[in-house]
Amino acid sequence: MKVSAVRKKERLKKRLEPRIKELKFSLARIRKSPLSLIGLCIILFFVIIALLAPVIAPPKYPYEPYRIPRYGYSTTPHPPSWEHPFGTTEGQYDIFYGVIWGTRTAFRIGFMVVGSILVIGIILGSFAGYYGGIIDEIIMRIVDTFMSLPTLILAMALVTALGRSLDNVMIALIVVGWPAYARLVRGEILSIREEAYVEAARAIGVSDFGIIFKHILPNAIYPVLIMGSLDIGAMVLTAAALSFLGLGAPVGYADWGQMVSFARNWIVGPPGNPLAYWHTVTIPGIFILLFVLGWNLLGDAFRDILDPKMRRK
Amino acid sequence: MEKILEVKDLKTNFYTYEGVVKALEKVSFKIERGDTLGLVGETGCGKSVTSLSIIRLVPPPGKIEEGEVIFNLAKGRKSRYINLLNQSEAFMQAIRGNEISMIFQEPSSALNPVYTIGDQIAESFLFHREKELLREAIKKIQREIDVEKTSFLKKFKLKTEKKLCEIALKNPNSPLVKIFSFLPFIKSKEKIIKRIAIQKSVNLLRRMGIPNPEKVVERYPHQLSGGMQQRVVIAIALACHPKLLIADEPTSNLDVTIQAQILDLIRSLKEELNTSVLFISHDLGVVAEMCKWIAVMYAGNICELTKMEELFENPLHPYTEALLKSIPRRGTRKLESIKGSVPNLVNPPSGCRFHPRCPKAKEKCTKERPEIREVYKDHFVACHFYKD
Amino acid sequence: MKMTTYIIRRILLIIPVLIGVSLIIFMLLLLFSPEQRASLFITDVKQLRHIQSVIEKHGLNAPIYVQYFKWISQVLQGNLGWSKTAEQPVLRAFFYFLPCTLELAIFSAPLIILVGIYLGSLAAVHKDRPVDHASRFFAIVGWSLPTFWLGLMLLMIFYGYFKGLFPPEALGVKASIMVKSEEFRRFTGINTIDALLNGKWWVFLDALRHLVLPVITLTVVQCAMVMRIMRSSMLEALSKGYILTARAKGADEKTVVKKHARRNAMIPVVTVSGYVFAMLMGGVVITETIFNRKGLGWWWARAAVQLDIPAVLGAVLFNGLIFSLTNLIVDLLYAYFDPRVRLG
Repeated sequence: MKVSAVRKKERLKKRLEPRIKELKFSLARIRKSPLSLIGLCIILFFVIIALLAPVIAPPKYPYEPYRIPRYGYSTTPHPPSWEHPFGTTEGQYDIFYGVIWGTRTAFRIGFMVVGSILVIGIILGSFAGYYGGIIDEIIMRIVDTFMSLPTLILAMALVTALGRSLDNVMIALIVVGWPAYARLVRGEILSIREEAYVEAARAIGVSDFGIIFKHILPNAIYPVLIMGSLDIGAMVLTAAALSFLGLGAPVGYADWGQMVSFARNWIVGPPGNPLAYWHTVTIPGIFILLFVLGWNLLGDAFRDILDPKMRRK
Repeated sequence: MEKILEVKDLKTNFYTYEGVVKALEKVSFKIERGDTLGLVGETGCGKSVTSLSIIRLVPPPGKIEEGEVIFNLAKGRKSRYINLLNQSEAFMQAIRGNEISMIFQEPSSALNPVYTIGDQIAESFLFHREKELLREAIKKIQREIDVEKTSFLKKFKLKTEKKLCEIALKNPNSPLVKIFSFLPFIKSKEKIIKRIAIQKSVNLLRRMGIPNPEKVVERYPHQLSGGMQQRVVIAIALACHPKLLIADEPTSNLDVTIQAQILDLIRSLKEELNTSVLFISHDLGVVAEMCKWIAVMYAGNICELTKMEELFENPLHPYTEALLKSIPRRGTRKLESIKGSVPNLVNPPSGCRFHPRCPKAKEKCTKERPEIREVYKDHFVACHFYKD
Repeated sequence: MKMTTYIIRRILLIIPVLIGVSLIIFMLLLLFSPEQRASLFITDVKQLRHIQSVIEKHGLNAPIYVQYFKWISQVLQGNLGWSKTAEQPVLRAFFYFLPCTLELAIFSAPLIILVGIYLGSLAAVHKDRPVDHASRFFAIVGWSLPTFWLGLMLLMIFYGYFKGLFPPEALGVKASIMVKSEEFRRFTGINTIDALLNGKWWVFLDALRHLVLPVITLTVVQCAMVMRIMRSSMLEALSKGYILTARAKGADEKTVVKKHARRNAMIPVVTVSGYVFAMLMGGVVITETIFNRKGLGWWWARAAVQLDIPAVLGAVLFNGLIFSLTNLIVDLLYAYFDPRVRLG
């Protein structure tokens, strides 16, 4: 009995060997590419901030941690000081608190929206690609219709219809976002279906199920993952834009876009010191920029690494 | 007879992630003027790398490390030998497509899908034969001028164009030529010679045996069949009457019947233009049909080089023997193969690269690389077995 | 023959998309109450007081499919309702706000495409060298920039710090007085063009000065995307067989890149270029809001916040139309550039 267990282990090792080699190659490439490392660091930085938010910026209202505390009611923003490391905005909302907890909001938006559209897109796209026929036509017409409208415009319309709140913004983004993934997955499935190795597998007698799981999905998933990681940034950007316009998070909510909208009237300071209120604009904006940049770098790195044709250049 | 090409100790490496691929160890061979040399070997033995090294088109991460590529830039009878590896890139650009041409395996990807056939063949003329095109243009315009019926206005236009060509002929960089191109009714120099070049392309296609060449010239590559495409590729290569044609597996992707046609075409053109040919293939049969000499290549080295008949009747190198034995013939019961597999060129075997698979291997073969030597007259082998 | 059938087919394909868009709009409509929907049908401010009668008249309490057809027929007659933010009928408001947006688009779109193509080509040819890294860095940062933040920062620096160098709004005070005066004839409604046609150079320059920052804001993000697509498309073209053939013919590097690679690399870029115009519509919402330029985007942003439903739905319809048209133009351009598509 023991001998067969040892032999099984050896066989498993042999099968995994080429995969381990590829994995090592991928890791080596990640290490070699400075941009992907930077992206990784940026994201890790934000993850830490998000996790440690209650510690770094203790909430003033225990049941509403996302409500930015106000320290007064004067309209003029105050520059950074010891009590308020990043200064305050119009209405004396603490910027430091806002951007720290805004990190959590950003992650929430990014993950929830992209997660949902991944699932919806993969399911619908798989149906369309695999079964073809009427189902394919219907789904693709819906996809085409949605994709013929710019994201922001459609999201605006949806939020107008549903009511102004961050949750509705997320719903709007999900509704607007899934078609791209459905189309991508369907396209991948269609092209992979015609590949020689799928035909070969079928000729050997692999079951339909086996083909999908072992051959089609593992190859189809890569572009989807790449697109997803790039979209996290894009979704946060669109949500921020909506909040900036006044269609997303309510006033005083810890959301980066919402905080930039506070700065709209304070771009130019008094004549002697035009950059007096720079912190209201710059600081929340930099957080958005870095967050999106991190995910874009990571997504780009994924694309360079995972694309099998580009790997060995 | 004089040589047209002599490759001496050519060494080419590829610097990849997995290590340095020593693609060509020390390749040496020569081709006489007017002869055809066939270069055979398995996939990966370095045939294509050799041909690319000759015209210095080895793609990065490849690099030609050592050796000489001596080419005979003869004008008429007088020979003039030049080492191509020492020349500037500009010099090489003048050589490529002009003195040495190359055709490739896949005709459909060799042609640019967004330009017409005519455009692509004309390019060869435009790159290398501008003076000749200008002279022909002058003659043609003169003929049009001499026709009595032409109106005064048209004669003026033609005379201006003729003057333009004459200026361009004498002084290619003359600013006047550029100025002329801005004038509204006069055709620019580029347009005039392009017209001539396209006409020459039509004639060239006709010589290739392509029917309706005037129509074909306006088509795009994807509208032609594989055989036609390969003929176009050959036309492009032979447009400027090169002294050496390198053909890298030109028929491997074509059906057998088309293959025969293409080979016939190459053969007849070679006779007509007295071109020397370096014919690369993995197919011994095709090479035997086409070539006077054959060189057998293995893992970056030339193992054996001799006349075609001699190779088949009296193979000396163990690899050649094994190759010939493995060709299935009528009556073959069991397929013969060579034991072992093609070596990894990042860590090639020491000494003679064939020794792990060679039935005649001795201890010397693991230590010392055999140099290629003339064992019999016109029969060269690189093997320690023949220690005459 | 083949070309005409191709064109006709593409035109016909617009119709299902438009139907789909109208369905989306209609589904949105259902989320509103009857009173809100009623504002879609009125053409005059006075009718706002008689909402109830409007509801009755148009049967907004009737079953859904009836309402849909009533609404469609009305739209096809040109009545898209009354926009309270614009204080005019929606359709008229479109033409009122369109010139300002067009002006931005005319200056931004070519810039995006040309700069993107140039940088992308440069990056591909000099792959892995400093130029390439710099371009890619620019592209990635550009793509990550929040448009609204970029606009505000530019304003802060170039209007605030540099004392009014590149101001917001569409025109300065003097110029806007001139533009509204009797002597200034309106040809297109677009400030720059009209100024040129009127011969008033200083108005033209003033308008240009006001255009610098919004155009930069709009251009940077899109340009990054075009650049990346051109780069990868060039890299792919450069790896093809015909490049080796060109080199073997004796072509010099310049010819190889310009004549052989670029022509092929442009084909996917052309596709994207078509969409640039449509995507500008999204970017314009933010940009016009920040720079206080009263164009379509400015109108739509206010409409969304103030729940001006006819305007919002009009926006959706308009964008659907624009998108379909650009799709068509892109397909035609594709056929022009790629003979394989044209001749089948």
